[in-house]
Amino acid sequence: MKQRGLSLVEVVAAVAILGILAIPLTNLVFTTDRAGRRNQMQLKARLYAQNLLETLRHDAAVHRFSGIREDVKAPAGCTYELRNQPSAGLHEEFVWNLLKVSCKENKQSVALSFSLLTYLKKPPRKQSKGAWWERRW
Amino acid sequence: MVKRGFTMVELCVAMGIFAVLGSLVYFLGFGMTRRAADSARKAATTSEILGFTQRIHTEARKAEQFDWPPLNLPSESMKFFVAQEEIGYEFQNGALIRRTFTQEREILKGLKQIRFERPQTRLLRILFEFEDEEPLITAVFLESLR
Repeated sequence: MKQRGLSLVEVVAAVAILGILAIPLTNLVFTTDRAGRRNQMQLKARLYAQNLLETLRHDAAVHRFSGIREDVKAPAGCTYELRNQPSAGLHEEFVWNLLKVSCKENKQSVALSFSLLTYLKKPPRKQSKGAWWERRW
Repeated sequence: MVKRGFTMVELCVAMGIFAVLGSLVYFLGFGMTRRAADSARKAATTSEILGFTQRIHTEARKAEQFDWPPLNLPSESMKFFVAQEEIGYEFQNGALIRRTFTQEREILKGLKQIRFERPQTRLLRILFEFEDEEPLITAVFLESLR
């Protein structure tokens, strides 16, 4: 008797081949999607950092700086940290010299660091009085 | 005797396999196109927002006079003067328009809303609202303003 149709093995093989062909396509979709999410997260971190830095610059210029204000809201998953890097020196008004912003979402994370010394205007250097023999008495 | 045609079971199995393959092709094909288009749209908006924030940081920082928005009144538009030239930004029909005396240009789209706010005289906050993402906020210190 003549057999018709495909055997179960053939059907499974055909589905497996299609599945293997689909892997690069799904991979491409997920890679594009992940890259898009990463871009979005970088934008989020950058805008949050700008918000913090500009508010900080404003506060330093208008009145004495006493920390990050509460009205600078952090986006979901983002945090900031003010650090002191001893080797970098200090602005006369600031205890910290480094701002670190990090955002985490779906196992992905972005971290940005900003030196407060380069961002804020440095205070004018005090003119050296010179050696004792150069001073006017 | 030679059997012809298919049994109901064979037809059901064949239809089931076609349905599975069809949905796979649909999700991979159409789903991929939709997601790719969505990603491309978001990437374009992200790049436009970055460009806009860079521009606004350079421009608004030099503002000598700020006419709109007034203090503590969020608005969809802002107006200021740089080197005696009036520069205006307005969110209209889903796009941000930049206006000067000589030109009018669309510089940002793909957003639900943009709000400008001045919580303090020399501090400008810009809020970007999206359709499917949480809003993002940035700030500009208006250092030339007295």
